[in-house]
Amino acid sequence: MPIADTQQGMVAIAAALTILGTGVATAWAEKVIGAASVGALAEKPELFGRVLPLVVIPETIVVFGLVIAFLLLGTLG
Amino acid sequence: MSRALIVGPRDALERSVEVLYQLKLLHIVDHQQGESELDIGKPLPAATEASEVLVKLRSIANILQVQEPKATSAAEDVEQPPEGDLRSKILALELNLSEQDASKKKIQGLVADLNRRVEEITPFAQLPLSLEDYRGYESLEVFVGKVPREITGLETVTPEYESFSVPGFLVVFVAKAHAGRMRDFLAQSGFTSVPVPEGREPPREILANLLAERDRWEKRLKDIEETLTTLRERYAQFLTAAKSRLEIEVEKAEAPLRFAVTDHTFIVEGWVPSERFAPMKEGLESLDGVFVEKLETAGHEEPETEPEPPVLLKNPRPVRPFQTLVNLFGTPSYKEIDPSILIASVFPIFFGIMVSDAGYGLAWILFGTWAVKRYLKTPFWKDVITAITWGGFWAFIFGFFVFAEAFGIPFHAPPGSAPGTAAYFNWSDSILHFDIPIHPVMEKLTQVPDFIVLAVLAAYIHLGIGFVTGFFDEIRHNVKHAVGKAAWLLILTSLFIIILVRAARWPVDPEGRVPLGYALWNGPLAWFPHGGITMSSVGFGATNPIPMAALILLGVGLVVMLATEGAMHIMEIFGLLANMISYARLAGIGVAEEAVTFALNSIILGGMIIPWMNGSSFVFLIVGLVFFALAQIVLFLLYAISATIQSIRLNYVEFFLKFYKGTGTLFRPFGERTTTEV
Repeated sequence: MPIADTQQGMVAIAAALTILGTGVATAWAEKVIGAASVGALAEKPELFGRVLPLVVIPETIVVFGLVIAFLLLGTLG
Repeated sequence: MSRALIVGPRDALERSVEVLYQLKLLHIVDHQQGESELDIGKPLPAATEASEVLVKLRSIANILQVQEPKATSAAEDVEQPPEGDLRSKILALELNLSEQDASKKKIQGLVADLNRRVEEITPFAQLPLSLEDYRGYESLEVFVGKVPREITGLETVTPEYESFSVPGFLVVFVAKAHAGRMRDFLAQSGFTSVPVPEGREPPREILANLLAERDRWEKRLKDIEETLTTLRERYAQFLTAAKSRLEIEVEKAEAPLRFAVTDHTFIVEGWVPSERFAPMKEGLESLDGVFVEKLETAGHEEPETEPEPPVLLKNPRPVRPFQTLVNLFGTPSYKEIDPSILIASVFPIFFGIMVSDAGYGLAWILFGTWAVKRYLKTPFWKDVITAITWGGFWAFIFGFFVFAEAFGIPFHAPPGSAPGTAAYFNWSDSILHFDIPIHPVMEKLTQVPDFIVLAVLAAYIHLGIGFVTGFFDEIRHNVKHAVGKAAWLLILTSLFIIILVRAARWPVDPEGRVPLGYALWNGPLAWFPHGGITMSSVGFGATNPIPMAALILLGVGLVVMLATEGAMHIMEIFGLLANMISYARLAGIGVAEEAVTFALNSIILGGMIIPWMNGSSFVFLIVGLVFFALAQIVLFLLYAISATIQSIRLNYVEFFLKFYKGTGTLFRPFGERTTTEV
């Protein structure tokens, strides 16, 4: 689907918003999990291996954002 | 692992414990009271005394603030226990110390008290009044106290007052008749009243006395602290060595608590590596009356109710550091395939793809090797850094041969960059003046879609390995689950093909290069039947229809999966798709890191080094190089941290959850000292 020249800026903004939204969402989610994990680690340091993946799980959100942003940019001429 | 049963007479108990401790072969299974008629054993008589002395010793070490030595040096020191009677030496030291410690605490209390009094009297000493001047009036009210700032306007309340002040402190004498209003006024200005100290001497004198007393006590305190430091220096080594010796003694003496005993015999159960059973039997049966029997060996077909043996991971040497990463997630259970070798091959490659810079890779190889050989002491960090160093190796390979760049500077100027700009700055033309015969296969900043396709390919291979491993894991226990894993592999393959076909939309990109998606689909995968359904609204045009064969694979996979795993698992398909897209982080991190390096390099190279090359002052070069080095060091560590975490995460979350449970117990033979205690 070709995008009109005058609309290309909108597509770029859409891509930027995708990254912005997913980035903020990731940050917020990691903040919550991170705080809880540090609490758990203070009690049981050996949980480190189980906690680390939990903390980075929300990073997938921003990776999705990245992929969508590139799909959007791919529609630009 | 073999299950061993050791039986012997009570009087051989102590010697058996000694032998077991020396052999370091038996993972003792604690005897639970009430499981059978047998009681648990009582600690050896030495236990009470040893633990008592150990408690004293810990308190001494605490008073002296003796630092625990690093793990490996402790292991070396253990072999040379201190000479002489440990107990009497420690008791004497404790007596001496507790006196010093008590007086230290007392003096600290005194000094704190003196400090408080000095603080109280100081403002009075600065005012030209004696303490008696503050009290004993019939017609006057005296306000003495602290103020947050200078208070003006007292005369607006009444002219009949007199005030004295130093910064932060105020004294007001006012006629009783106006006292109420003055109090309100002062209170509004933030005045807080303080009591006037007792005594008749001039406050200045009191202050001088207090200061002199405080100095005296502080000197005493310093003396005591010096004594303690001397003691620490003299006894630190003794204390550490004594502590580890006592800990061993306590562990040995308390071992019978884990045994079963009757009036005349003791019984120990435990696990021992099968091939080491004979030496253990030999060692123990040299004692009179002790017998060692092998209970039936744990095989893979035993019923679920059997107790599960502990696990001793056995891997070739290069793989061993990665066992730490596996154990961090969970030790494999006895029936599971040990994934160490998988993580050892995949973790460094993912790290390499994300960092993918010849300069950082080489730096990690050098830095990591040095750190592991010379600097690091704890086994945990040694293993982690070794793993990252292997990652550095792959970062070098990818950076050198695929992306052709080092420290964020490309080997050759990227197409379209103007000479003389920071973007043009490259190794061949600007630095080495020699044409490096390697050109990038992929440009990180301009070929991001290709990078993402590479990541999806990595996802397919990695997850595929996960399902295949899961298949072989399950087929020994449950054929149905194994078939389920095979079905998942079909679904994964079809999803991968569909994503790849979507990426194979364009035969050339704007710069005239063939995108990786197109190259893969029409190159190595050309044999796959290409015909199928066109859906141009979502990017599957006439040149790249959704392949019918992939849809058939998906259908077959779905049916088999639903039949073996149950209907609930249909939701998991979206999870699997999310997992695959999650690997795009390989590209995401790679590109983001490149972009950050490029930005910093542009500022430093464009602002300082290129002006110098065009004839600017030499100072530009020096400052530029310093900034460049600092930025590179920060980036080097930053990239290693994020690439490590992301690579571990891909292994833990996306990969392990496909097949790995990690519910085993680590084999920990009696007598092996753990250094994990914090």
